[in-house]
Amino acid sequence: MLETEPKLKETLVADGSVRLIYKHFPLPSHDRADDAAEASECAAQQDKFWEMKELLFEKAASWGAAADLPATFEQYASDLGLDTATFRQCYDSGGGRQRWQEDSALGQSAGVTGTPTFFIFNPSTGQGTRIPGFVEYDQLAEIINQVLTAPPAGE
Amino acid sequence: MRKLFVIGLAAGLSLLLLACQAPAAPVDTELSNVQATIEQAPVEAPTATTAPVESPVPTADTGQGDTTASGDTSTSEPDPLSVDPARPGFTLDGSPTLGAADAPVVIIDFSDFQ
Repeated sequence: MLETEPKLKETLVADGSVRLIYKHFPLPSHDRADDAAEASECAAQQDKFWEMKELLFEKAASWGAAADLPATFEQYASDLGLDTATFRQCYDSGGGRQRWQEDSALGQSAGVTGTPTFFIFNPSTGQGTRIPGFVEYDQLAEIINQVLTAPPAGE
Repeated sequence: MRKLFVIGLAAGLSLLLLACQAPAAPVDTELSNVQATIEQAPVEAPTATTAPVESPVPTADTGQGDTTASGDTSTSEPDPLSVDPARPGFTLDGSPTLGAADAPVVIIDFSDFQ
């Protein structure tokens, strides 16, 4: 999805065919994923979630090895033009924790075991599918088309 | 045995000849059949789970829902995945969302950053 998402945004999201929803599922094996989820939620509180998400992916190697993680995230917040004092207050107090923990619990109840996991569905028909793992854009577009054209559940 | 084989072969050839003489199905009928086949095909992908799934987010608490005159449990509660009109860019349950509120396909991405 890392390479797929930008293309998806430019095409099927831009033309109104698809809406993306992000839900946190920090894996225990990713030792700083909780911290990054927290940082992204604190950015979301200032309406900069997607920008922070992109930055976190882009600089994963950097913050993954940073000695001072809060300061590193604060620098990212500054780079994105956020109010850094508000961001830091949120981060230090765990102001986004409830959100990502709720997402994580939801994912577990839905059978998510790894990242990324995509649920692709048509709200009007209830038809959809789950894709565990990365997926190329062309393949994703085909699945989206299948979901779009599938008859309502039960028919 | 050889006689039976010859009789069978003759019958098969006769059927084949009759099939060749039958009028071809109109192209639009064939397209409709193909389309119907596609529509009936289950949603699946090489890397996808084969079983269709529903949204991982329950749309309503049916245990406490309103009851209609007919006795049906109402699902009048808003879908938590809907776009929050008071906070564009987020769903009603607080998740970041991107795209048209009425998009016919919704993708929920469970992920982390590492």
